[in-house]
Amino acid sequence: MTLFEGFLINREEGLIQTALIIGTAIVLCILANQLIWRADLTEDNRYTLSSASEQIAEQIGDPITVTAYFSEDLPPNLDLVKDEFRSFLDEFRAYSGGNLEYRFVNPNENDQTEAEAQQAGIQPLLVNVRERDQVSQRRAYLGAVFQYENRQETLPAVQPNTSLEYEIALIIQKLIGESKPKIGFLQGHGEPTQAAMTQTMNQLQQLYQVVDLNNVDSNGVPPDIEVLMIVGPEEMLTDSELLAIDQYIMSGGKAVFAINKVNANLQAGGIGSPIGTGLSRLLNTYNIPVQANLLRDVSSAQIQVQSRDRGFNVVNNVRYPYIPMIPNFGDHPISQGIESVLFPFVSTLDVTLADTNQTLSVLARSSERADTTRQFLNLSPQQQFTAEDFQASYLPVAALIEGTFTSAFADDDSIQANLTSSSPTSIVVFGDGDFVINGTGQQQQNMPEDNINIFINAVDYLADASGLMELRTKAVTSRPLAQITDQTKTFLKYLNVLLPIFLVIGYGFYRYRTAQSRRQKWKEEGV
Amino acid sequence: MSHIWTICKREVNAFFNSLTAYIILIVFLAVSGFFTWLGGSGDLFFVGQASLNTFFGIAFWTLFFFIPAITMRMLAEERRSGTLELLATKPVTDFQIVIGKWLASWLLVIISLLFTIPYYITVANLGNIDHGATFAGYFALILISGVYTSVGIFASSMTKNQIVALILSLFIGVFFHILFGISASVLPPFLSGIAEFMDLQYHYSTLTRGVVTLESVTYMVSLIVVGFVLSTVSLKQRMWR
Repeated sequence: MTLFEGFLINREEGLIQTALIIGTAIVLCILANQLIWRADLTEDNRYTLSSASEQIAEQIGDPITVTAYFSEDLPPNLDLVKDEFRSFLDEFRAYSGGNLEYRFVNPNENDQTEAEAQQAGIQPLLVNVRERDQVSQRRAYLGAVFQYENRQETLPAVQPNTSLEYEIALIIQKLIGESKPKIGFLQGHGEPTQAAMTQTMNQLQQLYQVVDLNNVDSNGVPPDIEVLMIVGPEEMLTDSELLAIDQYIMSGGKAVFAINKVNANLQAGGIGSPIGTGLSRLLNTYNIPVQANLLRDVSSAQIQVQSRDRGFNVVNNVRYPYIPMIPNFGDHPISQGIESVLFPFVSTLDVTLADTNQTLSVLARSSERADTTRQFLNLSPQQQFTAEDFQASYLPVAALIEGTFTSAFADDDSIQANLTSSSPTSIVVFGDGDFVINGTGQQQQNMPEDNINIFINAVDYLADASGLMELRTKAVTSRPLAQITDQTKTFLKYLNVLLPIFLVIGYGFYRYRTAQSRRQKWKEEGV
Repeated sequence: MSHIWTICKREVNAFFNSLTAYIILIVFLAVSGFFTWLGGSGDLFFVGQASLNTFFGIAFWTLFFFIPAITMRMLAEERRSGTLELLATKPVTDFQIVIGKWLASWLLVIISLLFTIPYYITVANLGNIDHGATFAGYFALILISGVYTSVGIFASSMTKNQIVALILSLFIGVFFHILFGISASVLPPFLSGIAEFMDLQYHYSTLTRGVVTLESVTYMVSLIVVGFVLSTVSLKQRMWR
């Protein structure tokens, strides 16, 4: 009996068997569609969504509609972004159980679609395109609108080299998130208000509910605060306030300390005065003290200095080492991708004290030519700095410490601390409290992007249970071809077009000759 | 199994003994090569990335036309010349004939794809190519070729005329190739989901970017098997009458 002998033997059997096979195929396809099994063969597992993104996609309850406004015939690097964006939407759709639908619209198609894109908040970019050997500029769109129930979020412009997975995950999280995690800014000791940190607040408020914390001495730090922010206090905290902060950390609360140790006044001739807040008591016990010094660094910002020269007022730009441009960053999600942060009047941290049950990661360090001073009487920008003023290297100015901590009030008999040691938690400390402050009114100034980024990264890292942090640096991978001469290029082009064809012809010719000689042989044998 | 292999070998040999075969192969390679390397505003050097995505995009279309040209004669010619009846006297079943013919056509497509290996070697020497994604791309090409071959064999089983088989194969193929995809955007949500799943371009694009999914592989293998069964039914019908 041969295999398949009884298969489709007559019409009736045949119909049943065919229906059965088609039915089985349909069932298998439905099952496979439900079972999300994917093998990502790309080298860097580019399309493997992180568990955080998978979770976000799985949480999508009702359909999200994405309208992607992407221009067509873009330069290759932007076309790549478009393809990648589509790929990631596909990946999110796979994990959303079909609850994410997208469509691509070309806003350059007609005026109506272009107006629609602009109305939705998509920002045009000016790009150079090559048409008939001429370079012309044209408006290009690379944005998307996400709609969920009655909410809408816009991605105004996708930049090349940004992490598309992060951008998409963030927007979906914003859309479906029931309540935003709370972060609390300590107030009442001369700290800057939310209005004085516009750049930071714009970013933070996207994902967090930002609240002011007053009277922590009587109320304590509410336990629903995900991250406690202590930014730039100028006055002394009372013992009960310090205790409230300490007990919050002991209960596993996370905190960011951005502390000024010195108040420098350039207007008064460059004299600095130490600031006492009482927070040293906490940071000393947590093994990450901010030192009472000021960093000066060769890598620094320029400021304008007025001087008199032959009776005239002259304004000069001079490098001012007490406003360092910090160039070295640790290999940590908080500081990854950060290139330079401006820290005005920053103090260094002592990073040598961490216990064995604590892990310390330095996030930012000075350049290799820096030093510190404990004398704050001469900070004048007009003084001459010499090489001898910069004898130290890579001094730490920001760090993260993770692990368990002992209470600052554990051995204090006068104050009753409920918790004397903490559950595992994390603290980020910056030796400066001004680097994210924009100020208000006439004094308002823009801070560099990276200043805000490292600060937001720290909050994200501490608050982010979903682990989206790691995605921020997962950028579109570009794999450029090597630069070769036009001659080699032409040679390779024709080689690749013609070689396969010649191989086919060669093989045909070989077969023909073999067959011919075989025939010849038969003929001869026949004779 | 040996019957299937015998039929397959015979077909592959017969293919390489005919001049038409070489013309089809050369046209496939010339069109694929031209658009991959010389196409102008979309060729590999213009895109400037060490990836064969340009080729995979073009091969999706060239294979769509190339495969029916290979499969059109497979069963139609046997029917026309009456050799199908002769085959029926041998101890082989119609199902084995169908699989043998399919395997031969599929192997021929795979051999044609092997002629594009120089593309891979060139690009890998010019930049940091993603080998995994390229492998997945070729896997996608081989899988999709299996589907179109199966469709082609089915079309060829239905008629005695090769040209009719070619047109029929393109007609059925165009639904999977593009029409389901287009209809997905106009149909109501439930039906659009099904249409999208049936769109081969959707599965192909997932595979060529380097992601092998169970649903894509199951769907394509199912289409191949259903093609076998329908082709066999089509052959059997002459005996059922």
